[in-house]
Amino acid sequence: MGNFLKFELGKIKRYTLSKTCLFEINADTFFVVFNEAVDFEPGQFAMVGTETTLTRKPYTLGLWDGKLAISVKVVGEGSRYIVETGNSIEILAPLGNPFRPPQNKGAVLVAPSCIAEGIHLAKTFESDLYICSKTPLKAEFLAEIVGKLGRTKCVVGDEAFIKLLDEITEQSYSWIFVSGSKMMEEIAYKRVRARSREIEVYVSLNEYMGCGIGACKSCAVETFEGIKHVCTDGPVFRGDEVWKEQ
Amino acid sequence: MERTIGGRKKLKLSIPLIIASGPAGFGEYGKLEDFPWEDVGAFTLKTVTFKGKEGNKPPRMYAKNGYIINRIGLENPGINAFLEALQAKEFDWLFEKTSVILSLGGDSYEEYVEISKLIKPYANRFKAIEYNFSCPNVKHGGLSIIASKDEWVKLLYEIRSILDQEFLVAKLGIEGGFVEHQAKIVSDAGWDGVTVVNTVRGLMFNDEGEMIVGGLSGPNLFPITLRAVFEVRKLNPKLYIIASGGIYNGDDAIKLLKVGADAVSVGSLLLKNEKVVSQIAHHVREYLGNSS
Repeated sequence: MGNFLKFELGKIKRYTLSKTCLFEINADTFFVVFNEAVDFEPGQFAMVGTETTLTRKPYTLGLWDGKLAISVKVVGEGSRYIVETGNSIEILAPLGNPFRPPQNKGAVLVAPSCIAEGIHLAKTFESDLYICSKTPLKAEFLAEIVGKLGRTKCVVGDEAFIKLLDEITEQSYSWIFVSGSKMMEEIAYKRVRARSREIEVYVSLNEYMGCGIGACKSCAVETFEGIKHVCTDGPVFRGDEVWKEQ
Repeated sequence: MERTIGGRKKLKLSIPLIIASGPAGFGEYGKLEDFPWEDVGAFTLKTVTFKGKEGNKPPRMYAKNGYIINRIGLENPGINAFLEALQAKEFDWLFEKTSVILSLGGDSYEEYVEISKLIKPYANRFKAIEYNFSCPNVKHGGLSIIASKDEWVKLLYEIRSILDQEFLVAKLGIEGGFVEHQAKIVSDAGWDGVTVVNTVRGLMFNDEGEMIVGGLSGPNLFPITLRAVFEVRKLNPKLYIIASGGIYNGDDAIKLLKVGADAVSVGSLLLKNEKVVSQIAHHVREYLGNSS
């Protein structure tokens, strides 16, 4: 808990955004593109304000034709508001630490709810992108991603996901980045680590977040080094910081 | 530091609008490029306890239907690390922005006494010192310290004797008996004020079905706060009252001032949008301008 007061003042900006387009990724998940550009680095997130919830909602950030993009799975009032509103949306950004992978080749595995971040990481780090979904993606949207990025594969269903993890360990990746549900991330870490000790597994963690800036201490996660916070210590952690190998 | 009006010692603030202890941490909102410091009369730091606390295991927070539940567990580095930071001038920027209120806690009678002695040399840097007698999320101290009334009364007198010059405020909840009676005990012990109320014990299940046993805040708390302030004021004309709990707009703030609060304090509101502080400040200034 040292250096608990050492932080840079005035670095987090407030942006007022307007939507430019909305893609349907699958039945409950949407790709929201804004008119504005926002300064951020791969792996960072924003707290997105809504008129219907008591806390802002955290979303990892991506780009679409140079404009800010987020992926939103509709799970409650806040996410529904973000998808449906025609009003401007206010965010605080950039938040969290940038993801800086090892230099060698990596793979980015994301759930549909994290596609925006995934595309951005895959492009920035010249990685392969694997979209891991429980239900099929809208073909038009998938085609758009493939058209922009190439090297994209979509797997559908739990069995296909497990099979993908096994295949990944047989390829020449030195790292993988996983962003999705807690369960998806834990399975990915344990499955990959059980088959390969050479591949470093990074996960972008999810915990309920109050402020997103390190003040409220709500987004605690248990690590082998004690309690850490997703918003200021993460959001990206090495899998071995959080889970034991199976 | 304070002025006396009608027998009541009052904090001299640029505006009687205070940031509550807890959600605002140790000033991390200073990371924002545009936090409305000019509309903040005082900033209350997150509670510092005698020993450092790692806080509770996750999940720690969830919000739905007008309630926020949290079980942070007073995560803080402890008084020694805090004093080191104070001496290293890590708070100086905050002192330049606004008045600062220190919030203190402990796990036992002895720890409350010891922390009071440790802070005494530095106490004049703070506008007031608030003691947390009401956190529902720790096993010892917090709300449980007032379970033994005789011991608590003795503790109030002892702290008053240690910090004999400071503006002392007790943060009270509504679950240790009638809050107005607790406030009377605080007043009789020679303390200057109370903050009412802290979060109220609650239980919610989050979207993953996990149970969160914690303290409730959010706009639904507002009528509870309003009644608490109303009752505390009736019984305690000389106490300075900081109203806290469920304040989300200017109208809430004005109602609390009307029933007897000297200042209003916002906490969970920051999680929704800290810029609302300026809207509340506008209403408070307008009300005070018209009522003076």
